[in-house]
Amino acid sequence: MTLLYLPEHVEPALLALDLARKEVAHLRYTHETLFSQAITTHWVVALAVDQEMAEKVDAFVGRFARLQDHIGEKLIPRFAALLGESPKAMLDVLAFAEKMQWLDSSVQFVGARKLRNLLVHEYMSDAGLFLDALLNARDATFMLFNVVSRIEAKSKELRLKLSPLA
Amino acid sequence: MRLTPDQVQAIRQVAQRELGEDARVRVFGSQVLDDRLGGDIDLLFETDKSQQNRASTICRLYGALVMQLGDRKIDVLLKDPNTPDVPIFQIAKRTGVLL
Repeated sequence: MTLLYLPEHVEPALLALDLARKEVAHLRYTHETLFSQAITTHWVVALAVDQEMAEKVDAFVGRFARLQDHIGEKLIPRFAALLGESPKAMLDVLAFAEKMQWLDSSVQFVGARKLRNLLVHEYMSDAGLFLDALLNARDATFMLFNVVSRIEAKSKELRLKLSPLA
Repeated sequence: MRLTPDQVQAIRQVAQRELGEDARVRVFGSQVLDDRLGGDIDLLFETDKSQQNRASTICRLYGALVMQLGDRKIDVLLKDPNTPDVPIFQIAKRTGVLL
């Protein structure tokens, strides 16, 4: 029987997937609690005095950024290596993910990296822009979740398992 | 100004595609100083059309620029009629070079 993947890459791929799942769970929690309330320009302006809510926004942005970085720097490259490909540059990594239909749009994924710069409330000079960015990040979160769930589906399709010694 | 003609062309095309023919784009910051090396690309995009979601437009501009220019540090400012005229826009206009 021909293997559809390189066995030596199973362990790093599954470890990256496991971490991605944990990051998804953390981000999902913050996403749900943050966006359960009505987010308006008035709400954004109030962040200047509402330390608790400002901290929640920071947690959301931090978790969003960590998951996005993990997907681009570890998860996709390790699953690419598992399948015998070794894209190095970030754009090649994303192009591979598009080819595998793990990611719908590289441009959208790259563009979402800008959101974290727009969501630094300490330097907020434009509440309208901050609000737009926050609502964009709310929607872009699902793009990140989709990448992880599609790669998870690939892992199941390949019946990947850690060896007992791993 | 240290951008190459190809880079200028690519930036103009992104501006026109995302914001329309009348969009204006300026480079400012270290890229306008001929005696520097490397550095970020700081760009100010201006449009007379109000954007429905400015963050979304900035993300689309940034994503398209990275695809064209490669994965390097690019800062994108966007000024539409709804954008408050904070000092950074005045600095970018005063010191920047229209592409």
